[in-house]
Amino acid sequence: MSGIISSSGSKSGIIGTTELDYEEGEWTCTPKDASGTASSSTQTGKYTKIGRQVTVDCGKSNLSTSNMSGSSQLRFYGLPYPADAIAGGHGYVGTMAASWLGSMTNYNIVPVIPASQSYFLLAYSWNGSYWEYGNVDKTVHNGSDYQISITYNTTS
Amino acid sequence: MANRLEKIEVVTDFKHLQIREITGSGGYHRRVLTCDQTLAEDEHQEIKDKAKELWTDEVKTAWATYLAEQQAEKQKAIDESNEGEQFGQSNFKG
Repeated sequence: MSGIISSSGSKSGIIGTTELDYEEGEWTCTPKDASGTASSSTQTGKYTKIGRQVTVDCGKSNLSTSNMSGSSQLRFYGLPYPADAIAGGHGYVGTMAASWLGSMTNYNIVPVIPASQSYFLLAYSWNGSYWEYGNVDKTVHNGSDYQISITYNTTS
Repeated sequence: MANRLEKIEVVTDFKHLQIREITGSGGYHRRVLTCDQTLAEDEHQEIKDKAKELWTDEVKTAWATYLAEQQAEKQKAIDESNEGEQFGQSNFKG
């Protein structure tokens, strides 16, 4: 890639004959239940976009789930770009470190961005063979921590 | 809204509003709004106006239909996975 990236903001460069845009900045991760009730535990994360590829990270300790429906799917809104449409039904998968996520403790957990969406949710497995998406009640109010990183493609 | 609105981009066939703002420190902050979301009362007026213009009933219906199709595709993947023929013991419950 030609060009110089030395500070925050948009840059551009060229690989071969393909011009790439580059941008970095912040996004605000807001946990919500499926009906849209938001947690007070918002957190600023960072993003980097090169061409269509976006990488986001974010982490938070002591996640509050006050007023959220325990039986509702836990979603984390606020991604800086929507995911591209992707075949196969599930979406883009990232990596996650977590501690004391309630009944998901010691489970395998990965963040997943559904196609065309701008939120991620948590897919978990308790035995390595059967996966589910986590509901709010899988966390501990004011007691769960998470740290995620996801790389995905956006539309343009 | 503490950040200063810089630009609104319209992306996807479903008129997602891709927002870029300038933070107090001069960096970028981004977010995306979809037509099934309720805008905050203190949302930028320009965003409210754009949503009102673009998020027609037709767009909302198309987005709802797309989400239903995605759910059906996911369920199909789950069913195929649960058959265990291609992925051994790998299963996924949506």
